[in-house]
Amino acid sequence: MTKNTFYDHLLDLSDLEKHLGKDEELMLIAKKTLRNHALVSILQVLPKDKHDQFLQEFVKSPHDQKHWTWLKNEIKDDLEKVIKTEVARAKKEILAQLK
Amino acid sequence: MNQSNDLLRAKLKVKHLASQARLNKFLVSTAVAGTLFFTAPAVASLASQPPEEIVSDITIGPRQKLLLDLKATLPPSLEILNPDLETKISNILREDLGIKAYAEFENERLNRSYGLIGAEQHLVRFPGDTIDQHGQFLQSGIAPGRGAWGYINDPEYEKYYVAVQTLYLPDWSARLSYLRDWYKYRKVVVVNPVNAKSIVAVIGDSGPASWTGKHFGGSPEVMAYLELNYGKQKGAVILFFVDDKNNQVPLGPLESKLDYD
Repeated sequence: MTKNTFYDHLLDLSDLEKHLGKDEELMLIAKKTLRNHALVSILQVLPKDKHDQFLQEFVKSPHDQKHWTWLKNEIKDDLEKVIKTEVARAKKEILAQLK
Repeated sequence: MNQSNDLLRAKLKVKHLASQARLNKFLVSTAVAGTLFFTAPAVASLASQPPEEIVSDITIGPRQKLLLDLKATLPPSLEILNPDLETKISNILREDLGIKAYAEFENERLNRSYGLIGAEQHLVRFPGDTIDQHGQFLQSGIAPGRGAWGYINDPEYEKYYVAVQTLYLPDWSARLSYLRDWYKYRKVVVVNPVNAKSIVAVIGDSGPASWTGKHFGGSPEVMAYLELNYGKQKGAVILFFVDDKNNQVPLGPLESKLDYD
């Protein structure tokens, strides 16, 4: 059973689905891959001295939307845009690999 | 979908592993970045979480595991390790790095297996050797004379050498001829417990003097890899002898777990 993350709604998998079909396992691997990339993108813009606090809270409740509020107070960048950009980049890379 | 699911699965898994490695690398560097790891260990909390899917995506890597294991084992201050602790650390190094390394090996031991390492200069490899022939870390300079074992001919040895205080061994004078040969280019593993960076080196010189307060010396390359080549250019390290009878353990940074006889 996969736990959702608070940023799952930014992981648009529709274009990957075209290549992977309805195979749930393949889609799950793709989703987990994008989740990793999204998390890296968050850590890249979050000040290092806040990583510990964030990761501890994130691991306790990965799906909790409260993380948005906390992160937006700590990060100057438009976080949704940061994540979307990284996810789009990672998807492009995955799609290139799948072709 | 033109390709077989097996092929797609394999390709996707490669991408997934790459993303995990990227994330793990990031988490390691986070723990290393400052006092984070030692004050409020995020990685420790990650390690103790239930095996949920999302948590497994950010499981700790080998270096983080080594960090956690050493943190749980080493005393808070830089003291002489007792044999029990040394055995525990040997077991950790075996489990996390795959390396067989001991504070006491073939009945020989240094006065310290956990101590302060300081930056050394390059060593001369042959008559007429000059600093500009050493490629990297030229600012470290080159020692004015030969090392304790003369010219250090092998460039790999010179690159990855440590100095240890053989001169302060209680039986150094009495067993000089045997010990001099035993220690010459003896392979050791050096671990920085602050960041778990580990490097295999040879004993290439004797020193430093006790008045420096340091217990070991490291070549410019060793110190740079351990990330101890800035500020006061010293820091606490574990230094254990490597059991490598068949010479299978390469010198240099230990980036992945070893598998050898």
